[in-house]
Amino acid sequence: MSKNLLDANQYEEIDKILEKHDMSKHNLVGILSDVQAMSPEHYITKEQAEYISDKLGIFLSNVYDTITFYAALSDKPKGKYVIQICNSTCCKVMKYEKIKHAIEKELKVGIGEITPDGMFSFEYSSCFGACDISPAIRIGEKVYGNLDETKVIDIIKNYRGGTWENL
Amino acid sequence: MGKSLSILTKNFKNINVDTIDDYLSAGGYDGLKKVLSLTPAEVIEVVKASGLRGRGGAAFPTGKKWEQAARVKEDSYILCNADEGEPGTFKDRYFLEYDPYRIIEGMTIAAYAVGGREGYIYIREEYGRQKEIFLKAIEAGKAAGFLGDNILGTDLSFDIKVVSGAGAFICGETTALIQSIEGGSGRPRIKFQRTAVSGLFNRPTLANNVESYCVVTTLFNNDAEEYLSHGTEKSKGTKVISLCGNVENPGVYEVPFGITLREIIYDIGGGIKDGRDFKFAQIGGASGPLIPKSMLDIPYSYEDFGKEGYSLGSGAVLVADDTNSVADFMVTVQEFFVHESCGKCTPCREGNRQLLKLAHKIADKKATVEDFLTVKRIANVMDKCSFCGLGTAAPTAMVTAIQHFYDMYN
Repeated sequence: MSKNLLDANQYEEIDKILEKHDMSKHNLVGILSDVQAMSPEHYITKEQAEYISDKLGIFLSNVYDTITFYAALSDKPKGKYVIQICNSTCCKVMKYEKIKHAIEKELKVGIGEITPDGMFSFEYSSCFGACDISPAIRIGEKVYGNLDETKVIDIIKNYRGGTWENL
Repeated sequence: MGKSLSILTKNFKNINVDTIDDYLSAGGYDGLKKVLSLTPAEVIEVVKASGLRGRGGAAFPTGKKWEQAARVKEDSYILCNADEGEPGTFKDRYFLEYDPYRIIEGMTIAAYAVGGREGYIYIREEYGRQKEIFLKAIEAGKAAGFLGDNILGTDLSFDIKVVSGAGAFICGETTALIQSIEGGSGRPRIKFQRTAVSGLFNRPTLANNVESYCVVTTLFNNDAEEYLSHGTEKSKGTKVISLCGNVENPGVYEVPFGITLREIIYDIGGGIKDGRDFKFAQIGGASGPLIPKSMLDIPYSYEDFGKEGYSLGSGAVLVADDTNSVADFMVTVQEFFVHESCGKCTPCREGNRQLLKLAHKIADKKATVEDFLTVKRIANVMDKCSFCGLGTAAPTAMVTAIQHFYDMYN
C-alpha cells in the first residue's frame, strides 16, 4: 500500500463507495464519480487515486487514464460551483459568446480559471443536450437556458447569495 | 405544430411517468403482450418488414441486427445507447424524461426476440435528472410485473441495469460504450467479430438507440398501422427530430419521412427567428453536412439524403441565420472534434487538429487555394483511415461548407 495523506474518515468513505460498486474494476467510472462527489472542490486527489488503484489491484496509470479521459472527472481542484458554458454548434449560432463575456465580466476570471474566493470555476462544455433552450449553461446538475446577459448575472448572484435553490 | 405528428411521441408531456398507470392506460405494454403471442422469429420478421433503421445515426437495418443476434445460441445482453451526444440532438432526452416505459418495453421485446435476460442502458452523465426518472420507471415496471422473473406469467425473465457515462462523446460509439461499461476509459475497439457475437464482456450483445427501441414498441401496439402509413417507400414511418438554432420554435418533433427541410424549418419550426434570412442548416449533428438555401426542398429521407452522399444522422436539424459566418462555424465544429477525439488513431487525432488550424486560417481570411485543397486531402484520409465513425464523419461539415459556400469570402 502506498503512503498517503488520507485521513481515516476518507478511507472509510471510499471503502463504502468501493463496496457499493462490488469492489469491481468494471465500475471504475462510477467509483471515481462517487469519490469525486465527496470533494467540495470536485476533484480526485492523488492520494485517493492511489488508494483506489491499490484497493482494486489496477495500475495507477489506469486510474489516471480514466480520470483524464472523461470530462466529468478531474484531477485538479475546481471552484465550489462549476459553471459550464456550452460552446458547441447550436449554442454557437445562438451566440453563446455574449453569455460568456457577461460571465467573465461578472466573475473577473476566464475559461479554465477559479475565482480567488474559490466560489466559482468557469469552463467550456461540449453539448449537453439543452439545445431547445440554447444558449445554456450548467452548474452542477442544474441546467439554465434561454439565457441573456442579465439573466445569467442574476443566476450567478443567486449562487453567491446562497439562494440558487429557489431559482 | 403544423405538419408534425404524435404517434411515437404521443405520450410526451401527456402522461405522468412517476407511476406506470398512465402508460398502461395509453396502450402501454399492448405491444409486449402481442409479442408474447408470436414466436421470436415472427417478431423479428415484423421488425425487418418495417424497414426500421438504427435511429442513433448509423442507420443500420435493425431487423438484420436482431436476426444476427438471434442466430447466436447463448443469451444476448440487450444494450440501449442513451449516450446522446451529437451537438444539436436532444430527442432521446425527451424519451427518457417523458416516456421511459416505452424504452423499457422495447428492450423487453428485444430480449424475447433475440434471447436475453440482462439489459443495460448507458445514459450520459449530463442527463442525471433523466437517469433518476428512468431508475424510478424500472422500479415501477418491476413492481407491476413487467420486469424481473416470469414477465406476465411467461418464461421470459428480463432486468435492466443503468450505467452512467462521465462526459465523453466517443462513448456513443458502440464498442467505446461497451469498453466504458466494462470499466475505465471508453475508446473504440477493433471488432474481430460482430457485436452480436462478441460485445459486452465478450458476450453476444444487441445494441440499439433509445428511439429504435421505442419504434419497436410501437410496431407491435395499436399505433403500428398508423406509424407505418407515414414515410416514403424506402424510409417508412416517422423520425423524431431535434430542431434547434435560429428558429422561432425549437424543440423535439415527430415528422414523417419525406417531409422537406423547408417544411420542417418554416411550417414546424415557425421560420427563422426575428424574421431573418436562412443561411444554412446542419443535419444530424456536428458530424453532419451543411445544407445551403438551394437545397431546402430536399426530402428528409434516407434515400434522398443518400443520393447526395449524406446521412440523416441523429435527427438533429440545426438552423443558422444570416448573422452566422460559415467559417466561424467550421472552427466551432472542429474545436468540438479536437476535444472529443479519443486520440487512439492518428487520422482522427491529428486530422482534426490540422483541420482546426485550417478552419482558423479560413476564418481569418488568410487561407490560400492550397489550404482548401489540403482540407480535402486530410478529409479524404480521415474518411478512409479513421478507426471509427467519429473520425470518418468529423470532416463532413468542413467539406460540405467549402462545397456549398465556396464564395464565403465575399
